[in-house]
Amino acid sequence: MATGTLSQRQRSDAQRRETIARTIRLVRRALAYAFMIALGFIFLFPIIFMLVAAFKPNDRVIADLASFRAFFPDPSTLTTANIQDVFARVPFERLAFNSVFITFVTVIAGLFVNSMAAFTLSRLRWVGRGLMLGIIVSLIIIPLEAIAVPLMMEVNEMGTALNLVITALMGMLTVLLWIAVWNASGGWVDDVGGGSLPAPAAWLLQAIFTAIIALPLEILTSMMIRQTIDGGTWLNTYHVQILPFIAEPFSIFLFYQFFIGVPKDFDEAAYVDGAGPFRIYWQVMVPLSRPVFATVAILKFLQFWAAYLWPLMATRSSDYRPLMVGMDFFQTQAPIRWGSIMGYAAMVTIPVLIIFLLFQKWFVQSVSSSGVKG
Amino acid sequence: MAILMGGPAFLLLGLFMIWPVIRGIDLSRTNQRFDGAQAAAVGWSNYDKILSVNVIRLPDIPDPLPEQAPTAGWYRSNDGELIFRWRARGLEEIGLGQYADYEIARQFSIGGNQYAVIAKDPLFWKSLLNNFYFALIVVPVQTGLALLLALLINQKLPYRNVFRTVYFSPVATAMVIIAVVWLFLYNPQFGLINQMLDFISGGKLGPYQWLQSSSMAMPAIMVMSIWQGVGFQMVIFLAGLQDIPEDLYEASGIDGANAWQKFRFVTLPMLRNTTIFVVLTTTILAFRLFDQVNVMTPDGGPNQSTATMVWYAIRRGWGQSEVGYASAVSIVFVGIVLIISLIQRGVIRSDTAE
Repeated sequence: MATGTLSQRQRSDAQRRETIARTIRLVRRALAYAFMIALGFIFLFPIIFMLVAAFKPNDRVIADLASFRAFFPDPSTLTTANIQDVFARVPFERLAFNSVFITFVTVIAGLFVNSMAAFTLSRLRWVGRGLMLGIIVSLIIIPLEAIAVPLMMEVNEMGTALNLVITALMGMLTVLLWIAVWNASGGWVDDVGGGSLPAPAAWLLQAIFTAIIALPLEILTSMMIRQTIDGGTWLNTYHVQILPFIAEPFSIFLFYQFFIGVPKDFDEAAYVDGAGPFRIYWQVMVPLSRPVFATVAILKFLQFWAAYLWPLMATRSSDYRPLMVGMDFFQTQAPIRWGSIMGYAAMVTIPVLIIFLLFQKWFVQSVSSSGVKG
Repeated sequence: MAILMGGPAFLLLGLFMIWPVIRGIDLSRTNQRFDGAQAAAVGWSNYDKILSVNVIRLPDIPDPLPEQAPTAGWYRSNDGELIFRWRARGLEEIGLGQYADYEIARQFSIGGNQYAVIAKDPLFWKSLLNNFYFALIVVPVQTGLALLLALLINQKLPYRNVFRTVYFSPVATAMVIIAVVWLFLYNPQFGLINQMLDFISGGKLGPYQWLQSSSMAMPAIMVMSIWQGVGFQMVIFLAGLQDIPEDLYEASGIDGANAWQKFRFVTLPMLRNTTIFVVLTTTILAFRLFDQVNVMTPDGGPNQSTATMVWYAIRRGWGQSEVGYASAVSIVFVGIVLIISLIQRGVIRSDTAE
């Protein structure tokens, strides 16, 4: 009897204790969520405000600030007037094209150039390799901001001889990319035609693939050739915003770190099959290293899309200016319309936010792998 | 083959990173201007101007004060304030002739004696100090907040990745754009931040002048910079947290460690390398501060309170076309960044040795 009551009491005690524990857990979880949501508001409110203000009538942008209406669009007054004003005041399409073209070429060419350099540093034996690695690691510290002024002087004085050298280099890069894509696209053409295409048709298709993928570099090279012939300063061109930033010590370092982790067995097998270094790079290393390519691509995309200081210094007209520098126009040219400013800000931000949301897993991965360091 | 494959990168690095540094050293010893005026070698005088700084004792305050303000010396202004007037012409008379190239950066008194910090280029020193101020506040705060956010997200809660995305989203937006939006938020008359402070505090706080006040402008830029950048470091910490083996926590739990002890004796030591990386990169970023300063306070802020070294170099070299002088500022800037990295590395190394 006595033992029965005891065990009953014990059981109810245990039950009560568990209820308390569960309540504590629930409260703790609710508090964590409340805290995280409050923080989330702090991180989002400027962005939400900007997106909402972009589609409000200009006079409401400031009038709504005193209340929570700053964050909520009023459906009855939604308007695209700000967006139209942006198009009326700046050549938005041109600025957007400039930004996309510059970012795209810098990232693509950078992936190619830096990964090749890292390949030679990590896989090929040559005199001065250790020294070169040391130089590249120490160059990581030098910020662009520190060399911007002398660099501006340098590109302004760029003589014909140096122009020729750089143009030849770009030509060589384009040819390398042609070879690489030609190589790889043979397989794609086989996939497309089921391996049954007659040789001339397959070659034609391969040539088209190659030309399209290498297109940005081809355009850039042709513009450089034109400039070398015409002469004149580098300032206010596309290549002044692209060429200095293609090779980048930190990207080379990231590639290098990844490549030395790839087992040597893979390339040894390819060597036995008679493949040369470039073939091993392109057909063994690149396919094995997709994560690091994604990492560098995303980090560099964020960096060049947001580039401000150098384009501001090196460009003078909206023919070659990117979107970030275009923002200056709204702040300096009267009348200052905050609605248009928010419209412009939203138009620049929305595409990137969409890309970010679509590939956010990759974004997060790339940032975390940039910090992996012994 | 190595030449062919590595060549483009090495050549471009040489042309656009190493050569500008060499050219910068070269230019820094001239009075080169960008507008094509003839340049002449000026030796080390640019560096002398940038780096000359001194603390001197000012002459004693005369009693009685002169009726009329002297060319240089003490006098009482119309507001009744005691002022030391510093004019190059008059310094000879009061025995400070050798400091004619200097300007007063700051005045202070110790034990009744009046002193002054003087510099040939006070704005450079102001910019340098502003960079240190920014770094000293932003680096620890941003690192701490990033760790806090990472710990929050690392709890095994449903939907935590939504919050990770939210906290990270400012990183994906360009600094220039964000700075313009915040410029609007900080507006003293109708800015959202003043409105929200007013609402939360029931009218007790604000309105603040934010970017228009010399004491608030830099903190305002700090807040925005932390807001924009903390998500980046959070993700790096998150990766570090996920690399900590679960057994360590279990083992310490068996030993009777509470949550705080687990954090102090397991999490923090295991995050050491991550923390070092975050601190190093944030410090360098703090010294590169330019975009937000130039957008929000193009003139360097009230009383030059938001001027930074990069801002100053660009202003002299690009804005005022003094390429020679700006190159010297840039080279000094590279030197400072280099020294800071070396010091940090030294600290880490001696720390590891213990």
